[in-house]
Amino acid sequence: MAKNVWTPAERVFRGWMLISAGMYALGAAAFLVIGASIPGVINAISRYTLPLPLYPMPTDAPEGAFWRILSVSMMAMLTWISVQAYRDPRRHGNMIPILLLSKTCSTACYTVFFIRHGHLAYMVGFLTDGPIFLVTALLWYAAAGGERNLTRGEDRILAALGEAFMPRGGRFDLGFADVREASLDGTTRMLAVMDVPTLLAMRLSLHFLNWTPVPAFGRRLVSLSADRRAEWLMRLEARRSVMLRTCVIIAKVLILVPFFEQPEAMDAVGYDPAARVRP
Amino acid sequence: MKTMTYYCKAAVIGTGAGGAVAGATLAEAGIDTILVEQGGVHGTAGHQGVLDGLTNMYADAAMTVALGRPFIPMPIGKAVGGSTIINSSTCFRPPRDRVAAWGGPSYEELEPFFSDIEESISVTTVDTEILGGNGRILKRGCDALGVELKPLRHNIRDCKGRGQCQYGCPEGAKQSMEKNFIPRALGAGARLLAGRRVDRLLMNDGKAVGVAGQGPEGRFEIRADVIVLAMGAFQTPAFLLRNDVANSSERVGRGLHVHPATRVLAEMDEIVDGFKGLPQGAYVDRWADRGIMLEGIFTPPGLMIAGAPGAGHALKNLAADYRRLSGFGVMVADTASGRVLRGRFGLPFIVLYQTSRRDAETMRFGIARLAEIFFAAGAKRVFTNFLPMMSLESPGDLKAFESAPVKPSYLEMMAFHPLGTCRMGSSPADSVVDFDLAAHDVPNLYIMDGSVVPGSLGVNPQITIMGLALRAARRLAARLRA
Repeated sequence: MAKNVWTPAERVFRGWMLISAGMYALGAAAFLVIGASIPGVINAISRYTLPLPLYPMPTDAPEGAFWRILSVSMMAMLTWISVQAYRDPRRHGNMIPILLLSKTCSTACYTVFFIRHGHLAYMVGFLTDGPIFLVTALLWYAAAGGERNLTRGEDRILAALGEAFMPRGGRFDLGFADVREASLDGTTRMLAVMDVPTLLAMRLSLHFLNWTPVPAFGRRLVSLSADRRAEWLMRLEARRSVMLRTCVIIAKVLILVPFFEQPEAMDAVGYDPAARVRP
Repeated sequence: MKTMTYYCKAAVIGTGAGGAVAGATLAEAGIDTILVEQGGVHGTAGHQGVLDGLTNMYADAAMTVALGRPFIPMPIGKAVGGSTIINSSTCFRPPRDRVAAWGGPSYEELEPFFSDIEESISVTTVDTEILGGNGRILKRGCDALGVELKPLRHNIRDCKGRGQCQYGCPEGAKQSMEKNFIPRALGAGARLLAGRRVDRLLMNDGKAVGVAGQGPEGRFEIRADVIVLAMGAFQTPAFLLRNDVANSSERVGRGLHVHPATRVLAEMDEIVDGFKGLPQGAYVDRWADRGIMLEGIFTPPGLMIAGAPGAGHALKNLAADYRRLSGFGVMVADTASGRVLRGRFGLPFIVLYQTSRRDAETMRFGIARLAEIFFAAGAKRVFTNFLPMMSLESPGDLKAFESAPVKPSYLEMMAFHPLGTCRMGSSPADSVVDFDLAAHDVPNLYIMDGSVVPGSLGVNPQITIMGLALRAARRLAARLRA
């Protein structure tokens, strides 16, 4: 079987998954061996640092052991998911939402409990799980495009933007929809040579653009008609917000450069790449 | 995995305007030299269009961006030949007053090096015939207003006017580094390691003794007597900051100067066919005292239309009139300065640059002058890239345009020619290298790229960078031979 060639985004994600697997495995071992004394350690730190109420020490077995068993089993599951995602992010990347769900729940609960009870232990949990959630989500999302560096959802956004920028009909017949696949291939070529953070910024800007009409129309850009989309994009271009205008420019470059690389599009505007002044 | 180790006398990191000249000069002086380049080898002749150029020869498909308001794309080359492979081939010597302001070698002392370089890369004055329709429009407008449109000097042999200089000359006519200094270096016995990114400076007893990095086959090290950094004004300071060296002055990465630039488009009644001809072959320096240079620019339709305002049928109508479009650029010598930070989160570097209001006003003044020229040439409409008035319908609109409020964020710009992030100077207190381009703090470490040029030049800097590198490399070669 041919060995997978990972994209830079996938390589970074795999690295993070390897670190995560180690982290969760270590966590599982710690909960198993010294789980009962962890609150005591945090309370000790709390005493010398922040004047926060102390966390009540867990009750003796069997109730305390029950929660430890749950924690260890959760960590074991997260370790296994991380290992699988490390082995093959394309095949097993779809398990990451489980990991993210776990981190969303823990971060949200830690936040609520910290607000209600003020124990340092909850703050530590929030400060640990929150960033882990964020990093995992971003890197998973960056890698989710696979070989093409684009998800199917982003394909749809690009196509919707392409049809808004270059609709069919008018001064020349050809529209983005006529050369969609070839143009999107060109876009993926551009994305493939970008550093991971730049790639991430490009793709997030597409989603951002997609959501911009929601406050005005209650619908995303992909759900608007092509004319309405074009009208909306022109409105964004005229805004003073640098962020909005930058997103429109990024979309134009990602779409129109590959579009006008298509021979039909070159013909339509009368551009001849072989033209020269001197023979 | 085993680390591959190379040994040489001089390791030159980067093969652009500075690195290629340094590498060839050292190799021709009989010094065992290795050149390292992050990008690949891309012979430009026969390449296929803009997309090929953007994906093979630019870092990040030309999406390298400086953070500020507005965000400014600052495209840089990533190939053997560096940015010389994707520049517009314009050749200016540095203005005398700027050289005098450096406080180092005089213009007269540098002049022979500039001459040597110009001969090596075949610099000639542009034949106006090659300017094509775009040049014709500008000439007509300038003549009507009594403004002189001057032919540029460029490093192209037998230019055919294919109009694609910035994506790698498809005729192979541009005399970028992979056409002259790189072959000269290789001919003199230098070795070239392409597709390899250097990330560590190896030190011993406070001296630079080598570099290490990552290549396609794994980690590698180069052990050398001297290290010449020539990765450009972004990568070189980021590399030094990452390695925490040569920064006792705390000037590394600071003092970034660029040439903010924007393109003004005009819609004409006549067929222009601006893509047939040399895109950047003429200039107007009438307002050079205000830091403004007007230089030609015309691109194939993808980038041309992507940079135009509008969407839907409005944009499509403009695209349909592509053959009737004329374009020219406004370039400003900046008064603001930015900063390069070491890379984080997978980025090789981070650039911070906030355009000043003064530079934005200068830019608007330049756009207005260019719009006047276009209207004098018969333009129906002019697109400004200035938010309050993105298009001007007649010369009568210029008054409102020039009195509209101006903020940097209202302008859509790009910036070119990054300089100044490892400035040269006589004092280790306020500069990174001396006038021989040797690092003040680290013996055996040299920097030979645009980062040493202190401040904006107001003109395209390739001759300046090459001239400084030639002078420094000859001195270094003499030292090594001794």
